[in-house]
Amino acid sequence: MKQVNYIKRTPSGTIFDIVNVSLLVALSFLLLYPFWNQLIISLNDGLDAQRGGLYFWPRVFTLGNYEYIFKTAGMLRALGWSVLRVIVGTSTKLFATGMLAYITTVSYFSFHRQLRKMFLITMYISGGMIPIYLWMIKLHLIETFTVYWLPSLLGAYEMMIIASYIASLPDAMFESARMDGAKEFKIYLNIVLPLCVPVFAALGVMVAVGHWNSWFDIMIYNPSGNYDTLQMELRNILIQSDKVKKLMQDATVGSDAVKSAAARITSQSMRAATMMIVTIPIVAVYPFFQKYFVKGISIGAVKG
Amino acid sequence: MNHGAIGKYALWRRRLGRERELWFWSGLCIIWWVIFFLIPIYGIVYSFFNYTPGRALTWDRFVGLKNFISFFQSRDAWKIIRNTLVISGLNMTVGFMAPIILALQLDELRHGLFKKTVQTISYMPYFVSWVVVASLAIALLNSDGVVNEVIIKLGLSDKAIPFLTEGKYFWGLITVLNIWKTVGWSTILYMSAIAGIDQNLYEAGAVDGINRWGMVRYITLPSIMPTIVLLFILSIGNFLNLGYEQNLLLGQSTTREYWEIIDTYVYRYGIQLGRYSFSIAIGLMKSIIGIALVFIANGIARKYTQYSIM
Amino acid sequence: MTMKRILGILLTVTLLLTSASFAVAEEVGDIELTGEVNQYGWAVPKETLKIVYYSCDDDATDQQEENERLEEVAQIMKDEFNIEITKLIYSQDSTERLNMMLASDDYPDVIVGLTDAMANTFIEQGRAVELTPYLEKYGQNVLATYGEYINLLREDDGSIYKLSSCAGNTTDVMGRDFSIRWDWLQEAGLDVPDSFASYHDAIATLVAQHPTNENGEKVYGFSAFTLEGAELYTTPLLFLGFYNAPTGIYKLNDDDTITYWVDTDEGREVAHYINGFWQEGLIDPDFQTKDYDTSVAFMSSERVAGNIGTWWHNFTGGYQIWMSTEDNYTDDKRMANLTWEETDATPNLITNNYIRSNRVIITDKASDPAAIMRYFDWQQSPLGIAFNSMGPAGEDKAWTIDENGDIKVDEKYWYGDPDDPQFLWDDFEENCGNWNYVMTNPGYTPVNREDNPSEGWASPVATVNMWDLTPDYSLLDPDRISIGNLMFLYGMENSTTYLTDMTAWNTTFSSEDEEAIILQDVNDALLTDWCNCIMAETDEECDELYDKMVSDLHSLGLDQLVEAQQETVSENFAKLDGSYWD
Repeated sequence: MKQVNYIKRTPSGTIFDIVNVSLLVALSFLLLYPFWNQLIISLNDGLDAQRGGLYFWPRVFTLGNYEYIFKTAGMLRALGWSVLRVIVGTSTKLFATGMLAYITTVSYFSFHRQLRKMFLITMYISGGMIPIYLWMIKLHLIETFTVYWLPSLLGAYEMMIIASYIASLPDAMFESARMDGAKEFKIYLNIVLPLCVPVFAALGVMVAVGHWNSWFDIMIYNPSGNYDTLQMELRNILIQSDKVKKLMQDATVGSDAVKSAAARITSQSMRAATMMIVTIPIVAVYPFFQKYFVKGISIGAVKG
Repeated sequence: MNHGAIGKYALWRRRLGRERELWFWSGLCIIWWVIFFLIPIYGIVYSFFNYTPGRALTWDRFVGLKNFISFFQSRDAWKIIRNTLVISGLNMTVGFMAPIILALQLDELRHGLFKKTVQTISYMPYFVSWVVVASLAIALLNSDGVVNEVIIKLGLSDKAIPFLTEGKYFWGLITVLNIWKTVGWSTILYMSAIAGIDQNLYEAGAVDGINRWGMVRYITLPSIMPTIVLLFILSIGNFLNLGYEQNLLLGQSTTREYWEIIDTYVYRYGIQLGRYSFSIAIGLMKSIIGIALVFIANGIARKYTQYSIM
Repeated sequence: MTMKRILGILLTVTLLLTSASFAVAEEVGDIELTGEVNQYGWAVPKETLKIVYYSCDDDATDQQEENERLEEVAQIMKDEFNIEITKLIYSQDSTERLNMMLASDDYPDVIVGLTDAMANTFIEQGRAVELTPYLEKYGQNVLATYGEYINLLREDDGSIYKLSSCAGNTTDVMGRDFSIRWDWLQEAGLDVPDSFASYHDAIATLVAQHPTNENGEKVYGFSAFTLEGAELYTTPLLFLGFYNAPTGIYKLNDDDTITYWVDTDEGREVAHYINGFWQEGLIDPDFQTKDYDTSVAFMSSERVAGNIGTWWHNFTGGYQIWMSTEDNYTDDKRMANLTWEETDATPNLITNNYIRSNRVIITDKASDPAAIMRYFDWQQSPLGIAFNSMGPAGEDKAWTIDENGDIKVDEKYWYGDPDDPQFLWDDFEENCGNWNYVMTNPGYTPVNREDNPSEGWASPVATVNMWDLTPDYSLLDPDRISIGNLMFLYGMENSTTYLTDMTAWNTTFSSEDEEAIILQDVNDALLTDWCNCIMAETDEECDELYDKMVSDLHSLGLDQLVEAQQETVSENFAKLDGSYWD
């Protein structure tokens, strides 16, 4: 961000500011509204919400949708798994991938280009779900916690971004450290990590959200439910309510489905409530990371 | 200098010694790569066979390139490819520039709280599932929806415009929604890149008398250009991967010739019909094209700009 | 003795022993019983019967550990039955999970709820156990349930490898219908519509009388509730006596051949009929984009005067919501279900598929298929059905067994709980542990209706259908009837059930069949062309677009599809009467 005192205030600049701010306010409304809409649906009685017409405020306020979700046994435990997965998964991935990225930037290392290429292609090609599943069985990673973080430990996308960032740092820093006899790992810890805080913060948010939202790998590798995260529990609830809806769409079904429909929890309100539960923690935590990549740093200070 | 055979060996040994530590760490990475990437890759071999899970792979089920060719033999193959290219093209141009512009706009804001708020709001759509997005979009664009109401009131048209049921609107619609959903999230990396710009540069620029627009043009943009090029090249590898969910949700039966893309086709005619080898084959084809595009794009970048990612 | 002689004797003895064991294996051994028979009619075995099964249809929130009611049932099964059952549930798509099981060669003893195609895959790979000898010895109840329909599950050589996971007749309900706003109809003083033409006029009149709803939004004749307008040709055609087969709607000709509906005159008439509504602006222009939730909102905000589709859309979109969210609600405000006979042909408004589309197999991982078959068999007995559908018997439970061994269902089933207006039979049943370890569900099989199967379906303890216990529905006190059951009462006022047995039309395409692709192509093109056709602005345009639809479908391979369906139907009829194996 540019320091404010360097910019001269001009009339055209002020007009631009006004236009910019108005555009962004309008954009914010467009971006925020659907989320708001889901919030009020989640706080509205399910059957009543089916009548439609909810725009800005709930019509029949109820906490019933959330009660229903939290009444499900195992929510707290699921939350625990989610938090654990996010913390372990994000920290290990950033640390390991950062090291990998750093290695690919060390120009005297004869293998560094091939290493980067090797990992780059992992982004675009895969063996398919069944071969990977069979291999995970062989590796004894089925029904474990490790399967959450080990197979995704080194991320090619993150590697490329971190590597690009490191490459933009002045080489002299590394050279002087090497001449002082520092080992590469020490350089990584003492120089690279502190300097990469903005990119680690940004990537950290993305990786953390990825872990927080993930459910596909859980469904495949840990189907017993012993390691279910919050997202997985919520998905199960959603499937159940959707299932009633799917039955309903079959024209020849009997009244089993009808009787279930008598319940006031509908899949529409379930979807809204689950979305809130998953998203609000992220929105709450995000600002703490945001400050690390919104504030600028001055390379000059490090040089000294 | 002529090193000779012994000299070369000595050079190699010296290099190995110097690089010993790096070889250790990259050795670990390579082991991981072999375990979690290389070994499962054998799965692509299924695309050359008529594979059913559970049945051992024997040579009599070998079909060569049949799975690949069968895609091109389908009736609408060229329409499908056209749609994929158009939608992806729109994503890579308009969709790619949008987060950059938004990041620059946000950077121009002075008020810290407003900036933080807007940025937080901007990525919320990322968490709204496509099911919800589609149903909201449909509700808005229906013939009795808000958008048509406004259009008729303003006199821009005397009848409701069939945004959802006439094919020619689909490409624009899906691009707008794609951007809506991902623009805020994509700005995160650009914001981080902007945050890393040396403030001294701006100071120097101010001293030289550059105005605000000049700051952006001569300092901000060039400084984040490596990030922009990097993200562009990386995303071009996914040129053919668009995901099937949004097209299936937003597409209607009367607009199908505009929304059927490779991914929806593979989903409906491959996975849903149990044609496993077929889906693998198309996936493999997309992977190869994607990787090729990445290397080509990088080559072009290296030749004509000074940025290269490998 | 020389080595040679010893070897000779050894060989002979081994040969004798192996052939003896073969002989034994061909016969199904007896299961050791303790001699005790529990209150549910189960003969308790000496050895604990252990079954691990995968239920494809259930979703993960039923997972056993989290469900106390299943624990109670599991305990009873252990104590009173000497059976231990482990139910596996995955929240993943079942075909995906089954493919993974096949690839890793790791699957449980029994798999319930597979699709027919998936069952065939297991059988082809030799992973399913042949059930024929076990059915002979232990499965008499099962065979009785199926009757002649078991022939449809036989392989080409007559052996049986798969059963249906729910065999029985469909509940006798209205099926598809034309519906109309009852209170508006009464207000307008019109007669109840009994033909396509009178329905059209009634709808037009009602819309003219009610042009907008309370919020000033436009009211239409009808929308498409789901399925993007497919019901708009399906329902009228079924009224005309067409058949709703798995590969499409067909007309059965006098010479027993079938014609796909677009090739018939009636098809064109239906297109013009619906197009007529469109030209008068009576169809919601957004009918294509309606998903289930939006349709419900549309109907419940009173923007349609009618609906062409199925009886139960009207319940969820109209009656249920109005009744539970409006003050001063009166029963007249509902969508009335209407059926009639348009021509001499009997309508086919609801299809009966006796063997449904899901299968059960016993896999080669099972150690004792005979004992498992005996369990299946017990599940098909009346007490077995009661136990599995309503949980254990008891005073505070959903049912009891009286002195004569008869089944008595708690009265709350019909009347609800007088002390608790929110009482739901479903919850009551669930708390008693219903539908817990069902593997072969006998469905809604009539117990004593062999003479006239089309009249009233019920299992003696049906949780769905109580006609068998209360033959005359109108005898029940309407003020005490629960919501879901009340809907049947209203539904039967102006509609009749027209149940058709379509079991012989069952068709399964494997992933390698070309017909599977053609079916998908045809369905896609059909929907696109049909929507365009009914949205035509003039009659001539409608004809043109109809012709286009016909030619499009034929160029996609419709003839091949029809041939495949024809073949399947003839084959199945031959199987049913046994002539297939002559």
